[in-house]
Order: sequence, then structure tokens, then C-alpha cells
Amino acid sequence: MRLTDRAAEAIRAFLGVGARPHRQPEQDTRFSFLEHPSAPHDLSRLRGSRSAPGSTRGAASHSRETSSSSVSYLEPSQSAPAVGVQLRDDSSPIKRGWGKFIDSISPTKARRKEKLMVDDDPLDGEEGELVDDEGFFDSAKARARIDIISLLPVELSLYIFSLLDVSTLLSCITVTHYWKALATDDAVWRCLFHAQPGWRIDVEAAHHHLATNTQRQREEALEHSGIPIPGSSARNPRVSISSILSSSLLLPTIFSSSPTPSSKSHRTSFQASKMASRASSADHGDLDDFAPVPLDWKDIFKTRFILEKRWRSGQPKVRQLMGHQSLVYCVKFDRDRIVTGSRDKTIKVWSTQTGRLRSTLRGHDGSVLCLKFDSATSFMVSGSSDGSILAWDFEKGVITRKITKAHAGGVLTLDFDDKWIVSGGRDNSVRVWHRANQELHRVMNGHEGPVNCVILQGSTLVSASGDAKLIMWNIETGEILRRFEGHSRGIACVALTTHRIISGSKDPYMKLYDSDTGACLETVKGHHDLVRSLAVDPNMGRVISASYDKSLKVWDLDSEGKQLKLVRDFPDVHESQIFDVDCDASRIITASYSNVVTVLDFGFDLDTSLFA
Amino acid sequence: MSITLISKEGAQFLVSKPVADRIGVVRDCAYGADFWLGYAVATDDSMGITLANVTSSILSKILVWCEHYKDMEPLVDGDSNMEFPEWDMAYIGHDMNQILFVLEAADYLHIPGLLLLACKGIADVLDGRNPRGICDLLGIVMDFSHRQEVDMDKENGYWRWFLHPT
Repeated sequence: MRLTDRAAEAIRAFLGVGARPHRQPEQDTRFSFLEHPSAPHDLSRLRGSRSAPGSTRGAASHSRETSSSSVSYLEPSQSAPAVGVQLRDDSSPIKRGWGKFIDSISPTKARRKEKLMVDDDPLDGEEGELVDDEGFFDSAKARARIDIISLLPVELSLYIFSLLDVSTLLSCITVTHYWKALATDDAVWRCLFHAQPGWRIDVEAAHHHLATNTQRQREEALEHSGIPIPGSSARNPRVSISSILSSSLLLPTIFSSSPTPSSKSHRTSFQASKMASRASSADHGDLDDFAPVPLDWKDIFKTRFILEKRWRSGQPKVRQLMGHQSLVYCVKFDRDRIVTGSRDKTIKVWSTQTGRLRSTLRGHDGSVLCLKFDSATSFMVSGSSDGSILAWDFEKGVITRKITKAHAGGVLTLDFDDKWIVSGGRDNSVRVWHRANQELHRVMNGHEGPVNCVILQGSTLVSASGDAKLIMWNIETGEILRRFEGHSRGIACVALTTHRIISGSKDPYMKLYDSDTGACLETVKGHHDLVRSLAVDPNMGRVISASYDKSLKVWDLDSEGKQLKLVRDFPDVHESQIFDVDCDASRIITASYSNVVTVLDFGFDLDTSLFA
Repeated sequence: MSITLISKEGAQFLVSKPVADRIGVVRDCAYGADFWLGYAVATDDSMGITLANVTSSILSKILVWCEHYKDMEPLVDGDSNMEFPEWDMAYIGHDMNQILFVLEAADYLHIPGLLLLACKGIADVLDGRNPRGICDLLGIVMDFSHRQEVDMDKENGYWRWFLHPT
């Protein structure tokens, strides 16, 4: 009922137009709207009786003649008796249902007011009561061609625009100034942005961006000694209609909080469930609901569009980060930092934006085989070939905890979440540690080969091993939930998206599994040597595979989640085997045998800082 | 229990309570009377609620929707990503006249779900049209200067190139 107040306004707007039809009568009659099929005679009379200035009786009778062929609400060809609710045929299910329904509401009781039944001159004594009718009919006729968008309450117009596709919206921009103001509104483009499958905004970054921008504008205003410059607010693109409206409580939720990225027509149940599970998961998926409106969403949309084009067909900007003395085993990054681990026993931190080396962390006595970090908590763990695991406060560059004999052999892989740290080692075991104090929680044995990759997701853990098996574990209880089989050689890497597991092996195949049933959905051969590492962008359903055959491939998981489709192949970017790969919305970063870290940046010259 | 609704022309529609409950003003009327008079109105067929702004034909169309949604919740949240069921889309159709009447009535009667459906109907009618088509459809006269139009064409051309590169 939040539209209640606006509703009255809309009614007034409609009737206001109706009272003053501004179209020519000839034009009107084409669209003359026969409100009541049973009484064309009465109605035309009524109309004629108090016609608008300039309209004559002749025009009225003309309208009566044409009314038989004009647009009629119920049934153009059928003159329904009395109440006009009796419909017989029809073919369409809607109409059938309607007719049935109308039967059920028993028209026998229906009766008409006496004065309308009387086929007399309606003027005598009844004039006062007919005024409304006349206004109504005129409005009906004028309404056939009215600028509905400018008459509706603004939030409804914005809502309509938010339902359009991009090219129609672009058309709307060029209609009138008013249409342009609405069709370029941030709220509309924000909806459009979120309606694109997989397009997400990093909400925290967006709020930060917004805060700093507002700050800057304030400072600029101060620079001009506090005197507001004429036109400065007009130049400020952030003063949008919806932002003014949002101070009122009349807005539909669409404009005060972001739509949850749920089902549009092309969305399948798979994707819907994917989104549902994202929303329910404890991570910050539901923060998306608060993506702020006052950003230049049209520009953001455009940027994202260009970015997606580049992922499909453009050439990324390739940059190589050199500094490690030996081969680079692992890489992880976020929007600020790239962190790499190498056989030279160091961990290096680079700037994601500039590629400059920020710092070198020393502490391991063996090669750094795996690491993971979290910027928000400044927490990092790294595992080494000497069997040790180090926990770092990497902002300060200090080791907070050293576990010397974490595994009997090298620590090959690591992952952590808010609660647990898990590691996989050459000793065939998976170990679970408490993140808070790094104490051992559980040792899980089940693999017959070295554990090459572990991934945490909620309370489950998936491990991939050299014994060619994948095992899904329950972390809390330590039991084995499911085994995934099918590979003929050792598995080097595994990646998870919602309800799907992707593995890469020495076969050298990649397999796609349903994590709920354990069924293998697809086997693809993209590489001709060991598939060493996989990275996924779960939002876009994008999978990146890196191989010992020196190539890097980009795959799309289709909307059903049943197929991996090869989108891009980068065979020439690397000169040597690739050991690790990580990705985000705009970059792929790899670590390779030839001591370099390679950045493939699809978002060069674009502001991609807001994309999650 | 049923309620009699009286259209503008005086036609009476006997509808069951769950159907009538879909209509905000009817709900308010009925409960309001219940509150003030201590008994529910419209248990007696001779009483009814007059909807002075709604004609019989529109009311009957509105009631089809109410009947369809008597047992389930219609979409009311203004979420552009939500999808209207097929039935709704067939119901609202592509006739701008019909849609506008439904929209107006839904507004007057306080039926948010139907109001949004009517908006969706308008969006669907607009969908895929070029500016000229929109102006023709709604009888709008463009109010941009020639220069502005050229500028916008340029920008739109840029966009369209992104959308459908040839």
C-alpha cells in the first residue's frame, strides 16, 4: 500500500487531462473509447450534450457512428446486454477464465441506474450528474495518445523505465527533456546493471567512492569561498530525480535499496538457486542490497559493458612483474595487493594498480608453495616445502605464528575462512586448524596420494589428490560426504562455484561435477598437459584454467551449469609452465616457472574499482 | 461471505471475500465499517460498496485478476528483476488503452500488484521501439533542438555500437 498517496495524485493527473483534451476531435474519434458496449447510443448523447468547446453535435454523432468500429474494451464486435459483463466465446485462456468468472458473479442481480436506462434527453435535470461521465469519456479518448510517462507519479515512471532493455531506454532518452531526465536516472541504470547476469558491485567500495566524492565536492565548494556557483548543481550528475525522491517514503523499495539479482526471464532455476544460496550464505552477498543509488550508474554500466566485451574478444594489457629470484609457485590478489610465493623462499607483495613491488617477506626455510591472505583482517597464511605453516600480520610484515611440523612433507595447499584454516600436504593428509589460535583441530586421512588442492566452502571442504580422487568432507565431524571419481591421473587443482565442482588433472582433462549428487556433468579436454590451476569468478560463471602446456584458457559455465564453453585461449602469453592463477572481475594474474608474475588486465583505462 | 461491489453504472458484482480483499479500498471499507458499526457490512446482499470511478467493464476485468490472485500473493515489490508470471502478461496484454484503464483503476482501488503489472504492460509496449515509434505511439512532440538531437544521436550511436557491433 505504499503507493496510496501517490495513487490519488495519479488519479487527479488523469482526470485533469481528461477535462481538457488537447487533441483534435478527428484524431480523438479514431481512438474513441467505448467504455460501455451496451450503451453507445446513450453515451454519444451524453457526450454531445456537454461537449468541449469547439466540438459540435455533428462531431459527437460522428463519434457515435465510428464507435461501432472503434476500440471497445470488452468485445468490439459484440454488443453485450445490460451490464456488459456477459462474454461468451473465447479462444484465449484469459478470456475464457474471464467469462467463466463473470458467470460466477451472477449478472442477474445487475441492474442499471434508472436514469441511464431512460432513453431521454439526458440534459433535463440530470445534468449535474453527467458532468463526471463526460469528463471520463473525454479523458478516455485523450488517453489513447497521451504522454503517460510524464503523467504518472515519478516513481512509477522510473519503475517502467527500469523494466526496459538498454536499447529501448536509449530511445527514451531522446524523446523529451522530461523523458531524458527519467531515463538517465541513476536508479534506472542501477536496476539495469543488476539485471545483467553476474554483474555485481563491490558495495563497500561503492560506499567509499561515494563518501570520498561527496567530500571532494564539499572541498571544491569551499575553495570557491562557499559561494554556490550558478549551474554547479546542474553539472553535478548526482542530483537525480530519484535521489530527491528517496527522501520521501513513497518510493517503491526498488529505489531505496538495490534489487536482489534474481530471476530475469533468461535466468534458470539453477541460477536462481545459485543466487538464493549466495544470499543465504553468511558471506557478504546480501550487502548488495545496499548498493547506493547516487552513483553514475549509467557510466558504471557502460564501463562494465566494455569490460565484458574485452573478456569476450578484446586484448588484455599484459604486464610482467619481475623480482623473484626463482620460479613463482603461488599468487593471490585483491584490488590493492598481489601476493606471490616463490622457490626463493620469499613472499613478495606488489601493488595491483601499479605493479610496483611493495615489500618482501622472509621467514620460510623452504619454497613458498601456497598462501592466502585477507586484507580486511591483515591476515595471511603461507605453507612451505619444509612442512611449516606461517601465519602473518602482513600489513606489519610480522610472523604471528609458526607451525614447524604442520605436515610430514611439504605443505602443498592452504585455504581459510572466518573459522578454519585447512591445509593439504605431501603426507596425504588434510589438516584443519582453528583460525583464531592456529591450533590443530583435526587430521583427516582418506587420500592415498599427496593432497594438491583444498577448498573450503561453509562447513564443507573439497580436497583434490594425486590419487586421482576428489573428496568432499564435513569439517565439523570429519566424515567423508562424497567422493568424486573419474580422473585417470592425479588431480592438481579444484575450484568451486555454487553447486558445481571443477577439477583439473594430469589426464589432462577438466571435469565438471554436480557437488550435490557427485555426478560428473562434463569432461573437457582443453589442455594437452597437466591442468595445474583453476580460478573462478562465481558471479559471472567464468572459469580460468592454467596448464603446464604454457597456455591459459577462459571458460564460461553456461546458465544451466552443465557445460564449460571455451571463450578465450591465451597460448602465447607465457613462455613456461604456469603454476598458479587467480582472477577477479577484470584481471587474471598468473605465477609461472620463468620467475615472473604475469598480469592480464582487461580493465585497463577503465575504472573497475567498483566491480565485485 | 461475499461482498457486493457496485460499479459506476450501478452494476452489481457479487464477489467472495478473498477476491474482494485484493482490492485495497474495499478492504478498507469493509474493515472500517466492521470497526465502526460492530458488524461486517456486505454480509447482506442488499448492501454494497460503490466504486464510483470504475466502470463495469473495467471492474469486471479487475475482478478477473483478483479472482486469479485470491489464494496467492501477487508480486508487489518494486523489484525490476522480478518476473511476472505468464498469466499476468497475457492478462495485461499489449493494448495501451486497456493497460491505462487497468492502471488507473488499480491506482484508484489501491491494488499495488496490479498497478505494477500495468507498469510492466506499458514497459512491454514501449519495449523495442525507437524514439520515433515512441512519439507516434504516445503522441509526443519531441522538445529537443536540432543540435541537441544530433548530439544525442551521436552518443546513442556509440552505445548502440557497443550493444550490437556490426
